[in-house]
Amino acid sequence: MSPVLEIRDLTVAFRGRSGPVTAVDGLSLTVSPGEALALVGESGSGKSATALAVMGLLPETARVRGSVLLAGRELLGRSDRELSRVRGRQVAMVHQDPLGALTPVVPVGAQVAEAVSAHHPGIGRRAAAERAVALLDAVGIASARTRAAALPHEFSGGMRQRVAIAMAMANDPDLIIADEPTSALDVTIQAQILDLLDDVRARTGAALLLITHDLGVVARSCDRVAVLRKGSLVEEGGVAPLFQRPGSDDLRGLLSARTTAAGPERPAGEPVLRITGLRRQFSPRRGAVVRAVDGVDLDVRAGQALALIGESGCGKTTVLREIVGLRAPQTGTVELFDRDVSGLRRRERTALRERVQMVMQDPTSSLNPTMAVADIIAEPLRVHGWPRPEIRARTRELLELVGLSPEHAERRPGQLSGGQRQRVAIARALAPRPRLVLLDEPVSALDTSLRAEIMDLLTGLRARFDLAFLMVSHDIPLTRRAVERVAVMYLGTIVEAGTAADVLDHPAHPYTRALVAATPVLDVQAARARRAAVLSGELPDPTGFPSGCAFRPRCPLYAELSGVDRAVCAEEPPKPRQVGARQVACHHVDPP
Amino acid sequence: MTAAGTPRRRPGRRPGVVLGSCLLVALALAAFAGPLFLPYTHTQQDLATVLSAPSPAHPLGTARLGEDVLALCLRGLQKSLVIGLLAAVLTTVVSAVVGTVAGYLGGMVDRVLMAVVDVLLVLPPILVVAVVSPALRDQSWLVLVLLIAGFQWMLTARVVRARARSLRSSGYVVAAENMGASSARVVTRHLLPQMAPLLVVDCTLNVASAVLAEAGLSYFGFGVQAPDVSLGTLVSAGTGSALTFPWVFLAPVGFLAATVLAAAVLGEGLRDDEGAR
Amino acid sequence: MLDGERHVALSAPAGRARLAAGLAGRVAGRVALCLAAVLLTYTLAALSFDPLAELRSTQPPTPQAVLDARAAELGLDLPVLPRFLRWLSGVPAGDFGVTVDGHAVADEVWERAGTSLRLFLPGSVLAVLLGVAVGIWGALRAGRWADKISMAAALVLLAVPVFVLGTLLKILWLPVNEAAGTDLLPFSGEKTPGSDLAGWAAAGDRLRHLVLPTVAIALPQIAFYSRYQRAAMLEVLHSEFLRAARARGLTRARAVRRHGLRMALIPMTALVAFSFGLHLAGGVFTERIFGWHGLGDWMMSAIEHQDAMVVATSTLLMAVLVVVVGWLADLALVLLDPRTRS
Ligand code: SF4
Repeated sequence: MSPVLEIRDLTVAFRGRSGPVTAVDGLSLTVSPGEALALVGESGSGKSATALAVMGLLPETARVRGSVLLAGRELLGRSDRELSRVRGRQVAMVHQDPLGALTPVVPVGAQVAEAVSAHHPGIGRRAAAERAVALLDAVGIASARTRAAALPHEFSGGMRQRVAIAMAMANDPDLIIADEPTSALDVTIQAQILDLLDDVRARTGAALLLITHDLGVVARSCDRVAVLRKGSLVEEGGVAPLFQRPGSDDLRGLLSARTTAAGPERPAGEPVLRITGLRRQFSPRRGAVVRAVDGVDLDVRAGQALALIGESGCGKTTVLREIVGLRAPQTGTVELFDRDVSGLRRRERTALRERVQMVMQDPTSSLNPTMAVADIIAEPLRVHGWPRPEIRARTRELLELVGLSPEHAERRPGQLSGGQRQRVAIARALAPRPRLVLLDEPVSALDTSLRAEIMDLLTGLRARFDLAFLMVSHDIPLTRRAVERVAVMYLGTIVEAGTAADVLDHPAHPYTRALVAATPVLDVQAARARRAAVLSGELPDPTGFPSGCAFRPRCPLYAELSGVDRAVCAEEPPKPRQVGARQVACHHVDPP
Repeated sequence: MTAAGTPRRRPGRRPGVVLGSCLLVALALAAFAGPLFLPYTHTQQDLATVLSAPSPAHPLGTARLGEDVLALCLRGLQKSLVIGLLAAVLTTVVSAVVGTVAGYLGGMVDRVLMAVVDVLLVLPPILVVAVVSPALRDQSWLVLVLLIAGFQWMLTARVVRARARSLRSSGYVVAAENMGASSARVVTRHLLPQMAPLLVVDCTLNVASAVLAEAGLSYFGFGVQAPDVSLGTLVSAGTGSALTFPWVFLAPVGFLAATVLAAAVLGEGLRDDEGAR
Repeated sequence: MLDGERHVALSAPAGRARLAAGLAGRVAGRVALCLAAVLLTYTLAALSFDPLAELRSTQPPTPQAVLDARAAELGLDLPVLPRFLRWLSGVPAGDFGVTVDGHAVADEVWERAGTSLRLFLPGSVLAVLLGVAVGIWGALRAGRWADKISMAAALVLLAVPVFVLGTLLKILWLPVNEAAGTDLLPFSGEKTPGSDLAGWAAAGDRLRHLVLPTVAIALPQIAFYSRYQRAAMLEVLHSEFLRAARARGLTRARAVRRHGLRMALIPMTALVAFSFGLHLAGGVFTERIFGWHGLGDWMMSAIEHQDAMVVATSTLLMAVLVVVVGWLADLALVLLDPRTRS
């Protein structure tokens, strides 16, 4: 069969400040009808530029050479008018940022209808609107008719991506280009969206060009994979054989980040952090209350790492914020090194901050771009009044500890790579010799291939200095390799807690099971076998509190229960119970 | 903006920056050094050549009492530049303080300060200054600087506040607070260095507005008072005979527009530079 | 634009009620601002004006009793705030106090206000429309010569003070009038004084008087708005949603019309609302230069005569205009951006 998309010797160059910058460099690729091809590579490898070149949506300043054949027809060099007949009809696109890709002031229904009427000029407004509602319904948007009138910001990220997919399938395209369609989403929602894409392809017979950096996603959804580096093709082939025997360092690097490795086992020391009955409520508007954290107990011991995992919005970051503030929480107690923080005086609080440090998610924003690396690392020492010579010695020592060289000291963050920046942030956190380090998704802003490396650096430093870690994360494989203990949060409460081996390798709570199942794995067979286990629904509106178990509306176990058992779930909020070595908050999980 | 090591165009290389700063320097040189090379002072009257058109002896013609228009203009330019610069610096200081305090502290302080800004923005500041200036007519022109600054800081203050607010929630400010840094340290080490380029840009643009404000006030007779001359008083004096003896009007207008344009072009160039970061 | 309007239609009655409440709330805030601004100006005027200066400097000296009587007559014996409140309490009934030379302010105010409106509104409306048009036009041609030239022209226009611009227009137009041998476009006043024109002829006469001042008022504002509009439109042109709209099959032109324009207009509403007050100054200068006896002209002479009542009255009316324009901008915002409705 002739390919649906054939890219030959494609070169894309942008105008840079100092001459042209080549984004895509002599790339050739083909996509056969109905096939799913993954395009992987680090950021800046030219994946997105390739997609935009196919769509003819590159900025006007870009220079494009080569050839892009769609079903045998050349697309390069065509006018906007001609291309507009192809875009959205023969080839459709799903963008990375589902909020940015929808016009904020136009109802979603009207935008979907536009995808219809753009290619059926005579269809009439009413008919287009009807078709839009049907499409929204088909992609799983409940009460599509009323939701069609809503604006994009009134939807969740997952729902917005469903809207985008509805537009993409509106005209039965031959090819769908999806540019990182799930990288802004939680794993559970990611699984739903990937399933939906599979479903749409099954229905329309469209081929898929999937751009991603997550090889788990590739294993799950794609037939072939092409690896890009600096705009050129590094290797290409079937997913299963290439994952078995990667031929390039690029692919090996990407694979390593997804490899599930068992984490360290370290003996626990004296208690460092103990939280009991922590609650935190917000009122986003008058009369509405969000119980962001709704009764959490945790303790972390010296030398030990505990990870808090869950979907975004589950309250894990709020827990971290409550700790780092070192102030009395709304309800409950926070004890650090056996001292309750609520009784602290100003002095004592400042002194305590030396022993509790934090590494934030995105080093690009957490490092002041105008300061030199040495000053950034030295800042906590200056704040805590260390003497000058010691600061200088300590800064040098820290650079080496995190794997940077002395000449980095005078650079600004803007002159460093993402990985180097996060190393600086880690050095800053370790500077005053803390005992407890709070980590807020410490690697999720980094390129995939760097994540494992930085995680391993953190683990090494922890062992060396006997630090305690409390880490917030949503990346299960990386968590697994970095911590001993895990607590899973759902809607402000901990539903399961125990050793990483127990909780992540043999999850007991229905939510943990779903979360683990939604996590992409590299094994192609296993990845596809898991599709059935997708968790339905999204986090509910946080201002409404269902009676009984908060997880009930989405719980797969609940769906299988008998009436009597269901009644218990509906009436009693489950309390954490000891099940084997772990704690589980579910009425229907029994000791094995 | 992310790419590490991308060569950034140095400020000096933007055409606007070059053009604006050269023009400003040239004007300043002319204003302060130029009169030394003129055969006339600005007060010297030559009753034989009253209101004569430009000629080799008087390149820009003469005014009503036979004063050399070029000498007058350079003298006026001096005053306008000094007033413009002083008022702009003062404006920028006031707006930096108000904006940073409001933006960083937030809450009640922020609301009160922003309400003040809003009230002052309802009416054209120049009218409000006009109301008070007759009472201060006999004071030195320095009072005029205070007045201009006092009613011109609001827009910059708003911009500074917005920037301070967004910086307040930025990662590195939160990080500094988490490590126990004091508010003073956060403001001086993190907020102000980040805002410095913005303040420089606004200060430059404020020079342009201050020069315009001075000219406007003087035009109504509320600004610089005789025997001082500024570009505003010259334009004002020339307006009456603009249709009959255009040079008395056009010459100061040219200097005025050149000054404002130079400051504006420089400011916009610096702003583009700042935006490119 | 027309396509865009369709989405605008307000649907549910509940939404409409919420909308009305929101707009009413904004009005209250703006009215408060307006009163505060008038109070400020009044206070400054009352504290710094000395309406008795002339009497006091007469030769022979005016007796103290006469001075006191005059002060009482002008209400100068009261502190500023009660004086202001007394003046303000008369306003709803149409009583704006008396001028220093003893006339009721109300006698003159409406004529003055009418003159100002006739002068300032056409120019400003024109300026907003043209400024938006030029800005969008420039953004769509960003980087080409036409755009560069119009941006440079805008910068130059903003560097020329309004009071100079008016006079420059006169100088430029003078040869035309002279060549025509008659005042094709008159330089002064609202109409030809003493003429007994009626009907269309009178309207034409007024129109000819209006042209130059309108250009003087509009040009700087066009320059001002077009620069901002261009920046706003450029940002939209680089936006993801515009690219997405094209990805679903809209031509660039259609995507810009249906999605880009509306988004680019949204920030302009706030700009018009807060910069309108600043542009009023241009109107005041223009009144003076072209000899229109409007509020600005009145206020300037009131400052010369140290007449606080007139200053307060003209300020009040200007502030009311600012409030009304601000409210119209709010309305436009709500129509353009449905996100503001909830
Ligand atoms: S308590 Fe019931 S609803 Fe909740 S997780 Fe367990 S089975 Fe599901």
